[in-house]
Amino acid sequence: MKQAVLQVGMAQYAVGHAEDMLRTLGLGSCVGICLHDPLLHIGGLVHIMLPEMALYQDKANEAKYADTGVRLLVREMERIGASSVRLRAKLAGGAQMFAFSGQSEVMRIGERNVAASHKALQELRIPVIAEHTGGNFGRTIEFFCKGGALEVRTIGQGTFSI
Amino acid sequence: MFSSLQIDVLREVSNIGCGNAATALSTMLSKRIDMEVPSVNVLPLADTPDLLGGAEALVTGVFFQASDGLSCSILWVLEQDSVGKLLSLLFNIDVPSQPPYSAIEQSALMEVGNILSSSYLGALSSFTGLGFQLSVPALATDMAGAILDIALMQLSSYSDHVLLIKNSLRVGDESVEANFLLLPDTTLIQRIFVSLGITE
Repeated sequence: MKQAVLQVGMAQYAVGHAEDMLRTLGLGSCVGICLHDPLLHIGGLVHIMLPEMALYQDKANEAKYADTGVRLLVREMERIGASSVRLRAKLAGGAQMFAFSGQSEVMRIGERNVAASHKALQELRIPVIAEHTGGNFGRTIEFFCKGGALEVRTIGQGTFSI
Repeated sequence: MFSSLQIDVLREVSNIGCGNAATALSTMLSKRIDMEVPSVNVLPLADTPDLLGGAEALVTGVFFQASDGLSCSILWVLEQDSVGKLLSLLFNIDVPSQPPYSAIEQSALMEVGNILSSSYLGALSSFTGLGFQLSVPALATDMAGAILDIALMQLSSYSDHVLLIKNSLRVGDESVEANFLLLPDTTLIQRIFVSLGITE
């Protein structure tokens, strides 16, 4: 089977299977939500920027928000055969890149993105089996559809496989 | 989304702002400063890191938010060679610094960013009659994509396409290049047009 590397930009998503690898570069306060169906080797990745669609004006792109992004990804994975009861989640990102004196809501967006991702997954009863979130550094992630391994690369903090 | 007249106006307005910032930098360093023609970009969110050399490029960013009139996000972005060179000019030392930067170095970079942002917005303010309040600066050295997230947050909640104005300043023969990204809030662009009497 042919291997594809699927690049996922801000507020985008991708679904792959077997040898495919899903990659997103330079996550800061954004969160990469990865879902995996271990039986059929189907993987999905959504690069969300904001916690909940209901709080914001733009309702066009579901992939931009944690709550709608998770549901979109589950739907798209089910379309090619995945079962939501088998899905497992891994999360990366949600950093606070800049330290401000006086923690405004704006600066805590990374933390809120992670919390909203957990909440959305919990509502669909999808367990989060690993995460690499928070901190004050950027992350590049690569998600392998076959085994569901998630590689997290940073500048200065090392590389992790979760 | 915008007419070519409007894009021209934004380019001209940013040119005036950047000119003022260049003068401030020139005074600070006693060096000649060259400016590039500003670019006004309307881009899908996913393509914005390309303006800074790609999502994984290692950069230093100094971030500001302006409110009360000229409401916008401002991000100064420098590559590491430029940061090192700029620091050696500021502190009058020969050996360029490398990351991680010391507290004094970070503070100096934020202060330069502060002066440049204030000069930039000051020019826009006298031009449009709109006031502004500038936040304290914040600094990070990391992947360009990660640094952009916060600057894009406000705009991304309105649309998948964002308007970014990019200016570049170069210090004389010193190969220091500073990129300035201005992300106007959605209402600000209209207010600029109104203040200048441009209706379409």
